[in-house]
Amino acid sequence: MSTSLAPPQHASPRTIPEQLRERLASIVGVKRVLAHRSELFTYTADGLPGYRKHPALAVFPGTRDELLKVVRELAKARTAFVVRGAGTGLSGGALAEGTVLLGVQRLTRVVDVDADNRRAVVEPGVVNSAITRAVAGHGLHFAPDPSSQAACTIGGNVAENAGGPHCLKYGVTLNHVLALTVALPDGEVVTLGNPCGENEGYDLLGAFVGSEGCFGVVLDATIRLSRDPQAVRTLLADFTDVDDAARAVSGIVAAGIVPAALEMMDNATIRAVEASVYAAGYPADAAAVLLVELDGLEAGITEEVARVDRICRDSRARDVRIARDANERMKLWQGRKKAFGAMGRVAPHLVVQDAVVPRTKLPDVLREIRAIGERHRVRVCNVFHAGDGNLHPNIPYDAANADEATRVERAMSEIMRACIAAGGTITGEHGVGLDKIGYMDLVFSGDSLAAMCRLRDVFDPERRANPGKVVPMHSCREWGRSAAPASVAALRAPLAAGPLAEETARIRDEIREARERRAPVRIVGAGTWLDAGAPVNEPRQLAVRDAAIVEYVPGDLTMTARAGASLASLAAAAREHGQFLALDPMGARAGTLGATLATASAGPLAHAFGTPRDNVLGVELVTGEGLVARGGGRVVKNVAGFDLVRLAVGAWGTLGVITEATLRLRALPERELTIALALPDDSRRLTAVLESVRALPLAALALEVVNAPLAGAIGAGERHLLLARLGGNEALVAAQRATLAAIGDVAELPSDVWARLREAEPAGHAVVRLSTLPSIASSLAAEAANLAPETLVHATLSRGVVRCILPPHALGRGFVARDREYHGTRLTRIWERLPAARWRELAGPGPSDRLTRRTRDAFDPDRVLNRGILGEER
Amino acid sequence: MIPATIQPDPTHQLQPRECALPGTPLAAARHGIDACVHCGFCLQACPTYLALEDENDSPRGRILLMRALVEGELAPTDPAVNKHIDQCLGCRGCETACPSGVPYGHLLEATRATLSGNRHQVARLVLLVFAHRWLLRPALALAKLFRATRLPRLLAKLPGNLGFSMAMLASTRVPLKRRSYTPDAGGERGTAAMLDGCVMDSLFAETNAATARVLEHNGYAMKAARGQGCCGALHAHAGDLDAARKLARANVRAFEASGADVVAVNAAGCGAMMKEYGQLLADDPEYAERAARVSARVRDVSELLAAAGPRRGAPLPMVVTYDAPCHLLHAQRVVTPPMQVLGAIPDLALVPLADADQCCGAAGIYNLVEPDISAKVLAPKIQRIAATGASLVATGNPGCHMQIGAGLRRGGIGASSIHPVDLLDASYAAARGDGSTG
Repeated sequence: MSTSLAPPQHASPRTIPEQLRERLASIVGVKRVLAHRSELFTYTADGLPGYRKHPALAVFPGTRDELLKVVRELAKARTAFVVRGAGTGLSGGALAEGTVLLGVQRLTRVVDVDADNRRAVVEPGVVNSAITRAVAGHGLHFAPDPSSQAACTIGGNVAENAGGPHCLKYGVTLNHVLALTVALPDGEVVTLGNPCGENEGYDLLGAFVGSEGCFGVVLDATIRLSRDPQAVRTLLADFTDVDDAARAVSGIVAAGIVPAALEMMDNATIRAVEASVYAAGYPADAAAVLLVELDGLEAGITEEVARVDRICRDSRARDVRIARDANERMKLWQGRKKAFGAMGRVAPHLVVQDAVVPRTKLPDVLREIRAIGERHRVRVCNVFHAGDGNLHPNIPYDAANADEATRVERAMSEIMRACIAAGGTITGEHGVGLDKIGYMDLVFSGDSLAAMCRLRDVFDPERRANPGKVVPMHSCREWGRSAAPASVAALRAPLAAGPLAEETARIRDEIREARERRAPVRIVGAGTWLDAGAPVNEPRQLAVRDAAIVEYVPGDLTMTARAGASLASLAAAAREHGQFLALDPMGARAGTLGATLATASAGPLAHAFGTPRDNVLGVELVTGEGLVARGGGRVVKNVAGFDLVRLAVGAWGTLGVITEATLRLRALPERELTIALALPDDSRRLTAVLESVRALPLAALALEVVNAPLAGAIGAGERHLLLARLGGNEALVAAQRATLAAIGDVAELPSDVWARLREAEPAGHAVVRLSTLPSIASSLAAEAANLAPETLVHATLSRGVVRCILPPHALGRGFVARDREYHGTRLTRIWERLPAARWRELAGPGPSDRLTRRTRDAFDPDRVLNRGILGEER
Repeated sequence: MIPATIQPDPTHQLQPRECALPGTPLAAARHGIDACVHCGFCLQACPTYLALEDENDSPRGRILLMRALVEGELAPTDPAVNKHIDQCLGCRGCETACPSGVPYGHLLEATRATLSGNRHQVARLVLLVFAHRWLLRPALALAKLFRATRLPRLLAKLPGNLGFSMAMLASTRVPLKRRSYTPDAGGERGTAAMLDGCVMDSLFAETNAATARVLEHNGYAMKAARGQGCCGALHAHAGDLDAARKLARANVRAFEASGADVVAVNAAGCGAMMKEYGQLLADDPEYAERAARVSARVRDVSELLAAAGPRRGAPLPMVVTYDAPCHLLHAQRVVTPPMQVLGAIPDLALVPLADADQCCGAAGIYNLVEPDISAKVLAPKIQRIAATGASLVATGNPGCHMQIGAGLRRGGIGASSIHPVDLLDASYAAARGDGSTG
């Protein structure tokens, strides 16, 4: 336990002791330690030129080994440090003031490429676009594409949870990192996430991604690679009015189209780009242009292009043109991606913002930004990710002009407030760093900031890694957690906060009472999953009942609901607006949102849409300490503050009670079709067919293997089946059906087969999820399918997950219950249900590493929430 | 053409600001520094950053050092500043990566001119020789005589700088046997005067002759420009702007007097310099306009040939790759014409070279002044060339020719460097039936 820490006493000197300098030099070589002021001058700035901070020393290890040694040496000397990659960040996050700057740009090895499993292991200094170059021969790429991708490093991408234009469809860095090897600031090396299976325990990987260098140093990253799309179409739509362009954005999203990217540039930006070497042929007299990219399978894309074209023209686009070839497409993108750099043509200095607003608020907010600019006589250039509502209002100015600098500062502050007031947040992808730390109080309550501080202390209790960034110091003042957190909240009133919901207040009070009386509670929602997880036998229950939908704006494709709401009720509400929630966990449909998130339960839709962590935008969490914290927000892209959302999701209630969540919704496809492909019985032939399916060009919503007994239980026949849920326009669905029909017998099934699949669990059966590399999962699924009669098995091959519902007689068999390895690779086994008597024997204790313990200590110090549910020592 | 000094947005009134080095070339170039927004897009385009892995040796880092000089944060005598400014190759690869249009080459020259008191010994000597024809001619003639012996090829195996220099010299022999032919001389595309150059005029005299032939064959009537000399590029890059201006004035006079429509240059570095004479002499009341007019007429030989088609020759069945000289690609922004030249040769298989836009490390006299860094920059270039399997690397600049040629020779790669014009010339000769491709 580290609960009684004194305030940090780490060295933060302007000069580093000669001895430390020598020891560092002995690790990395004399030439790789810079200590002279003139040599350090280059390192006083990152990608945001408004700040200059002088490091006391800079050290540049060349290998992973050297990097680790340097971190340990700094730990020994208790010296603060700032990790820096390529220095392209736009929030001042990699600036070191009087501390050690630790540059990782020399660690540029692509350690391993596993094309079959679509993943690679890279060192932190590898440049983002170099990854794609390295794997291009395999028809793969790394999806996150921040505009600085030609220079920025993967270490920086992880630290900032970088986005980019294509994250609209493909997600941000968080969604593309499978595991990290990390050196904690104290020198301990830990693996976060699981490179070959599902994550076990808390989602510390999710917490780490986006922690802006405050949690530790990445030694290597296992990243997910994406298949290159079969077809890509890039459209440039030209508008004479910004409002029209904003309306076209809303129109495209409302039509259920998910472009790969949807970008807007205004006239000032267009002109700066067109004057540069990256001139893309944007019309110089347009008020705004939209860059829309559609990609996916060849089938159906022409129809999709025609729809976008029509929507743009209906919104009074003057012209819409399609890039004719790869070269023209590249030019259109280069112009967009270098737009920020091109601003240097306008004036010597530049402020860059990164606020996010709900998509439906875009026209209003853009108008307001224009008014603010006019009021302060500054020129705002807008270039941004319109599809996400992620704005980048840039203001070029001359810092030597004190009056202008003041006006710029005022305008920026007003723009930030306007975005927050519209329900947005202060940063979507650039991070808080130094630049936006002053705005954190506007978005987050004192409790939320305090909870973020707790999270930081899990990784870096001495607060030596990137000190003074992200969370304002004053919110961390209650060191040793002795101070009453509630009193802190009263001091500040965030712009976005309303009064606490009645149930949130009740739950907070009950948790406080539980702490005082040392009387642990069991969290209960609908009560349908109480037999999941390790047995918890607490007489006291803490009920989560509030089932209200707090806010649903169909145009934003987001829904905020209280945790007691059933998934069925949320699905019904979304369906009325032609939308759906991509969460279909196994179990009764009465199961609640809170339980789904707490257990991170996923179903077949995870194949295309990921697990709950990938679908939750924000949570309200009452921690075991009694803090009412909000993480994330109500917008689709958000990197403000440390990630309490990922921490809460999958924690099984052991860190806090999720009381509310904001979810990302999807538009229902134009056409949906469920197909069953009959599979062979024999394990070897089954494996071969599943392997061939893995390589098929499909864009299915779900692709689930179901064994014969389970097929029978859901009324789909008596053979092993591959269930494919196809969605999209007519042409896309038909093409995929034909692709499947080419390899075997297919039959159409009614769509309610998916609901039956979720509810197919016989009472009293044990349930275990096995996971491994996708390349091994086919064989694992085939073998499991034929394991024993009455054993129900289904598998999502793309995720490498095989779920077995075991009758008592099959419990304890070989690879299902006991083997640590399968085909030479570690087999990950997560028990969902297991007779209490056999838990200890088969499931063993849950993760008990130091970080897991510290996390629990930080959020539920008295162990009052769901004690023992993770199988931990009670 | 790319304006080398950036014009700030006219709607944006810049405030006058303090300058620590008033009256210096760097102070005059300050607008260029201001254009840098520190985005870092130049980092991966910079050969010294990739080789040395220190941002002090990157464009963004060096610009920050320049800024520190004008703002008085660092002194012009600071050894670190001088070191990193000296270590720049001046390849200007960053300029074609820069969205803000920072005129980096111009800033570098201005900075070096401002710091000129601290110039390298070897550089001083070389610049002195190149500035004076009576020193340069005999020096190059000696080198040519020496090349005629087998010694350079033998000595090229020696380790270190001497061996490398010998390999460079050995690589200047055109790797094709050929006989001359009489080109068609229609002159329908107007008149052209050629810059003879220094190294080109001696060690690459055959290439100069070939250049004249292929231009005539493509409709240019060649005229002489008497009184011409060194273009001054080496001096300008080293910051010796006065010497560069002196040489530039002489060339302006010579090419004016030639009366030719265009100035043909077959050395990318010289062409880049001559295209910037207008700027170099912008403050010279007598020469400013005249220099600008001459600059406007300067063309790389590949541009002239591409404009003419060029005419196709006889097949040369060989595998060739192309490496872009930085001063052709980044400074002159001439991208496709050299490919068009090679494309006029039937059966010549042109294989793409990875990272052809990256510097080879020659950079004028850089390989003499900073041999270690130069070798580091060259190494990946040689690897990539070897990976193409080509037997010839076409490149239109003598510095790159010798650097790559030496690297290939010492690396035991069975390939040589060659000027694209030499290949086209051989193809024309073969078409006349009186040449062979050896």
